[in-house]
Amino acid sequence: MIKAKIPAIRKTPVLQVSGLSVQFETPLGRVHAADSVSFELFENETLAMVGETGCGKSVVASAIMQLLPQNAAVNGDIEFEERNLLDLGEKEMAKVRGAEIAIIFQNPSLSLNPVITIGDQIAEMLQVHGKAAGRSKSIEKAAGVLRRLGLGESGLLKMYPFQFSGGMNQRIMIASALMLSPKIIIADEPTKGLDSATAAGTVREMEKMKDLSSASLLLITHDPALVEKIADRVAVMYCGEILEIGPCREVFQKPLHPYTKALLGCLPERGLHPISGASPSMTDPPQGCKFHPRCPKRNAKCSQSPFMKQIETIDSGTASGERWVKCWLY
Amino acid sequence: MLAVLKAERIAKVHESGTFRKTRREIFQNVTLELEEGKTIGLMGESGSGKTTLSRIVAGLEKPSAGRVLFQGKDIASLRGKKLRDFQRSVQMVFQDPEGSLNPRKSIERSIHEVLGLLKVPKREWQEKTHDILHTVGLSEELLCRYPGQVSGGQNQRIALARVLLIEPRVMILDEPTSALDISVQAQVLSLLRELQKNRGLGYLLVSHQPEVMRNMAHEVFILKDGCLVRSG
Repeated sequence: MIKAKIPAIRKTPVLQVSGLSVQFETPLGRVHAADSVSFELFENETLAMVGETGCGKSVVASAIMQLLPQNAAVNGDIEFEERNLLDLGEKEMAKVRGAEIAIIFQNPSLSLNPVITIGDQIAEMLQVHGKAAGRSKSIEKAAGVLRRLGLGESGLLKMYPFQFSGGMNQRIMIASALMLSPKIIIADEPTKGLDSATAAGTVREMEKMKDLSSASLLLITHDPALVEKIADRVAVMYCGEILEIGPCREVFQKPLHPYTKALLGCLPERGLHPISGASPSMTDPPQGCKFHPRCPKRNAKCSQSPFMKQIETIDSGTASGERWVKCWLY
Repeated sequence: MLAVLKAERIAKVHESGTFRKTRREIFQNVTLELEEGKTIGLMGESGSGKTTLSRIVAGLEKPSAGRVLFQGKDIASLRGKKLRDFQRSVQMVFQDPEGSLNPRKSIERSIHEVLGLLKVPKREWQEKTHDILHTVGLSEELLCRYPGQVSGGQNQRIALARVLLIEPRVMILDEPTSALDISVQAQVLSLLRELQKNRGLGYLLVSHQPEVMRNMAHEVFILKDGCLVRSG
């Protein structure tokens, strides 16, 4: 049984994204990549952003890091440490990137410079942010971080990225992200393109990373199985919007939004039930609820835009049942 | 039921180096049978030789030892009409759907290319194209687009459409959904299940996802340390 109610207890967020919209002008028209995206990332928590490819997850990550191309029109607020990141200039933002908010990109082999040794690349973080005196001291610190991650083999620091597998390069990226003990780590599809054994290894590294640092993790992925393993809360994105957000276990056990239900139904362990229809165009998205043309529970009201509503589940048996859903059914 | 395709005691050895030759045995003594209407799953870690084995079974690579039998005959000895019959009956679907299609040819040209090779009269092309797009659940609006202008799942369906035009009996599916989202993966895999039901196709499905195997395969084999073992 579900009823609408707003609980009073709230934690302090380290990052607060409010009404973030990102649009790109392209020759094919205006792409609405993110539309009124709002969420909070709390201390020490792992928030996963899950959705199909092209739904705007990575655009949100890039907007937080201000790494979007010049044709992007960004609106909204990204509050971090009492500053709106969207108001910061390039020099101020360069101080935030890596030191306060670190990002692990989806293709580790392309994210690392092939002609610079691993040691120098990890140590570069300290030198760029002026946190170490000299190359040798910063390489020593890099060796320390690698040891903490269980990568203490001698000679590793003098090797090059092309000498490693994708999984090993992903560990190097994790080590780089940990170098300056950032407050937030964004992991953008960290297991994409890796085989199951390597992906499982990367998940273990991420769990180790969470234990070693007190950083909050924003995990961006299209893989619900990965989310189930390591996330505390999950935000489900579709066509540039967050449709549902809530504690991971509850969302997986009892999804509320018809899209979340459909997405989880696609999992092989839940029977491989495909979602009917095709993903909508990002240049000309449907009016009202963007999922309604594919929704099995649509009604006349769905042609109007629903708003995010807070829902408390009272039969889930957990106290942290703060859930939000954007659907006329609730 | 008689196996359409049988790999018999296959071994593959990779040789590298110009002056000092090094030999690496990938797998040995592998025997596998593919029947119509049945899915055989093949699993294994990266580098265990899954793709090499599937390419050997599809006749795209030669084994170092052993033989592949098509309807009881060694494919290495097939010539003329019998060889063409084998090539038609056994088709492969690759991991990267975009890489399977020519980026400079529209979807329509890619499909017509197959019809041309099959010597289908031109007056039937439109009808055949319409039918095959309907089978794989694609709209005709896509015909004028290029592979770079459609999604990964749509490209994989186009690759499947091209293969289905040839009317194979057995399909070798080398991680056909590993580059796709779970929603698109569910679409492609349920389409494959439906095709098997309607056309009695036999599949050799290579995947690293145990859950996919549980849903799709009648029998699962694991390639480990160079040997093929049946999964419990």
